[in-house]
Amino acid sequence: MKNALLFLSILFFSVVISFGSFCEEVAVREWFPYSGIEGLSSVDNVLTMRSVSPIPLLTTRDNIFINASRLKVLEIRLRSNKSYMTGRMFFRRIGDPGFNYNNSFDFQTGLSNIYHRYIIDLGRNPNWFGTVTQLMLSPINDKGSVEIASVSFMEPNIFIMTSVFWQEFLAFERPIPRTINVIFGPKINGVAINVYIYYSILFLSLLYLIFFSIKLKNIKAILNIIIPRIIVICFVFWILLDARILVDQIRFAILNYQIFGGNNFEEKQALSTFQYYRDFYYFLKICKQKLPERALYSLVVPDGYIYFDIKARYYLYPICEIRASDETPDYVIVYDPQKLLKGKDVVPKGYKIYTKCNEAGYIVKRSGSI
Amino acid sequence: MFLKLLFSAIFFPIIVGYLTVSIISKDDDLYPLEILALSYGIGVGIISFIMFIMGVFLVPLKVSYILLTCSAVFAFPIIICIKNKRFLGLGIKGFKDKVASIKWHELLMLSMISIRILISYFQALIKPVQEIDSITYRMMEAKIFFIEHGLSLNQAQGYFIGPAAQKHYPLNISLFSSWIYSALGTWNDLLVKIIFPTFLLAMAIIFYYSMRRIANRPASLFSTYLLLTLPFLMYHSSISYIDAVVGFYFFSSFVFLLLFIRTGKISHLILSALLAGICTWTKNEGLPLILSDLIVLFYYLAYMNKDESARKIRIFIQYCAGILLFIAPWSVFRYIFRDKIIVPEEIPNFRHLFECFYRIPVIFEFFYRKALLYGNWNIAWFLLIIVIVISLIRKRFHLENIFVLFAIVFGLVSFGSVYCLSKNSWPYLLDGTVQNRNFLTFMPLVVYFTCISVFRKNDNILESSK
Repeated sequence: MKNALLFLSILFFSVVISFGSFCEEVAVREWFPYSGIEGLSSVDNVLTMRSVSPIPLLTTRDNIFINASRLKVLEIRLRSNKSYMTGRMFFRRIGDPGFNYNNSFDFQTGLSNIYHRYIIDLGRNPNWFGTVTQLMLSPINDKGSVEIASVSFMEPNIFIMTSVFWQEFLAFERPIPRTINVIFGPKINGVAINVYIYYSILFLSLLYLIFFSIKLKNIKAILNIIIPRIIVICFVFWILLDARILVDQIRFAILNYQIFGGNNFEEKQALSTFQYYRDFYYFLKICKQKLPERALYSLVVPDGYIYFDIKARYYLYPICEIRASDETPDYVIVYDPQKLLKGKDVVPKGYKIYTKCNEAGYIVKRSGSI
Repeated sequence: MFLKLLFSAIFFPIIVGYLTVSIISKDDDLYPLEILALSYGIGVGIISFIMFIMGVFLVPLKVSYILLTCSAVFAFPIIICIKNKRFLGLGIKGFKDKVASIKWHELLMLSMISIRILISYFQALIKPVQEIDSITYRMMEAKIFFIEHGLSLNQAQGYFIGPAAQKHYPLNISLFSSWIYSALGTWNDLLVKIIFPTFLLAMAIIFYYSMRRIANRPASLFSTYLLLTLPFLMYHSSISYIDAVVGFYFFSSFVFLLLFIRTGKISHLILSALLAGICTWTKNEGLPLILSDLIVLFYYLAYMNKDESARKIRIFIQYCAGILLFIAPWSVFRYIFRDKIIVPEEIPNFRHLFECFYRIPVIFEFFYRKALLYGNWNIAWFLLIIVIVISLIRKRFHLENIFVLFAIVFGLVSFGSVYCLSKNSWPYLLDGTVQNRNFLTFMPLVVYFTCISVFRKNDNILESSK
């Protein structure tokens, strides 16, 4: 009876405290398009927009003044026509020269076309303190439509933090595209769920040991009873964790279906090459048509475009990329969708324009000696 | 039409494998589904091996030539099989009774297993190859072999075998993928991925039957379900990379070695040798793994088998020959073209050995983090430790369990030694590139060890309290 009263009191005060928590909403009218956003409008206090870039950005004015030391939880309600995207919120405190990745936090969106409530623990970012004066929000990381119903900052309390942990536990952990080495598993408070499971198993085993040690005096009898129970506990946790992982596997299947389903083989090739620069595949296709079979080429792309080189080699064969630095290619394929190349990379010395494939790139051909 | 061709392409290795298993095994102690699963694994290895030999002798790798060569190779054994009526039974006798006797909880587990397999097939066939390593190495090689109708030994273009650095890796999956392309008549790196979930299916079947020989049906089904709950194994079964395939071959070779130790039938030993040989023919990492097979066999023959010494030596040589059959031609090829196949590894000198010791605690830490925390192995490693502790407390260690545990520890030590001694592999440990994939090659044995320790008939831990 005493314990029940104590529990009810704690629950009551938790509810009172959580209702009394301070909350500050960034009003819909405060948001402005910064880049990659079209058709921004506000209807019934819901912000609707179209993302036309992989990093669509909204920003507020530099005068919102959020008490970061007090408001350590962010709640965003949004929906998009794209599933399982990564959103990112940048913040700028008084005195910060601009936005940067250290002053930001990301969140994962859920299934498409449904309003989701995302709660983010800002306290995990060591730079979240002082007074925040401006925000920049990238709601998704692809082209698509987005609706934002609210963006609010709140004081943490037991219910909000439970929601944060629950949301983190259920966050969609998928394989990082194009890598084959690791998939991040479920976490709580940034720690692998396995740690909590191990402690739970050890704790329950200890409870069994204590309970049966009091009940039985014979050590052999105690072991005979608790060993099967420990194994069963392990299997139960295994199955529970598997059920959680199965959710991610199904989500991943849905995501892949949404991206690739209904497309023909060629479109799938393009999508698997790059979702943002999917024209690279079609660019390579044009190159394959224009270049003579078994020609030797080299590819020029801006720095950091590693995957482009591998994909070009893969799709263009039997047109071969030169593999030794002392070889001189007959053709140079230049792909530069963002116009980042400068100087001799644009048209290498000794080469002249052979054919222009599309807006993003062209082929140059060797002309005489180099 | 495409699908028909695809199924024919996948069916062909099953036929080749089935013929091989029929030649080797005259006993009917293999289950029909197990024969099919084995046939797929062995068939893939044999077809790719035949294609490799054809490629070396500049025979074009076209469907007609491959079929002709395979027919020539198998003509004589087929005649012997027909003459001696040695085809293994794939009958469905008693199948109806088995289906009727399935309990609801078994059906539940069976459906959980089926869901995993279906997810794996779906994930594999919904999108083309997009993983960096796949398109850089194996699938690139497969495309080259398909377009060139050969091994691309024309090194003038710098495309000797393949364009990438890993030319010293065996060609099992690359050649088999090119077989699929040839059978389809076109390059299609989406449909070719059917190879990988089929390996998962074959692994699940072999795992189930290897458990079934030791435990009852519900326990075997539950064990198979546990195997398929390893997220990293599931993921690798849907992408076109070969660590899960190495895992299949190593696991199968080891359980057939254990079966030989249990039954004493030479046919099981030969099957184990073939699978071990194909394991090394799939990836270089297969070589240190199958050393544990050899050590276990040596121990068994030296200390436990009461046969004559000459017979023991003959058995050991037979086993080694089975392995060498697959790896020797590839090793000779690598030696002949050693200047073109870059083998970048440096052999550490004596001084270097001592310099590397500082790596040991780091390796332990990384192994611990991947195995127990962030490696996507559910709680398999934790349960392994619990089961070992329980076995020590109960002072009951079945010999087979010791052999399996030895293979796991040997695998860990082998990969740990490579990280410790090799200059090239050390960075891959630190950046987390390959260690989890190394684990993948012997993870089926980790689950197997746990399950046989818990569910073994007559020594079932769960029933010990009764």
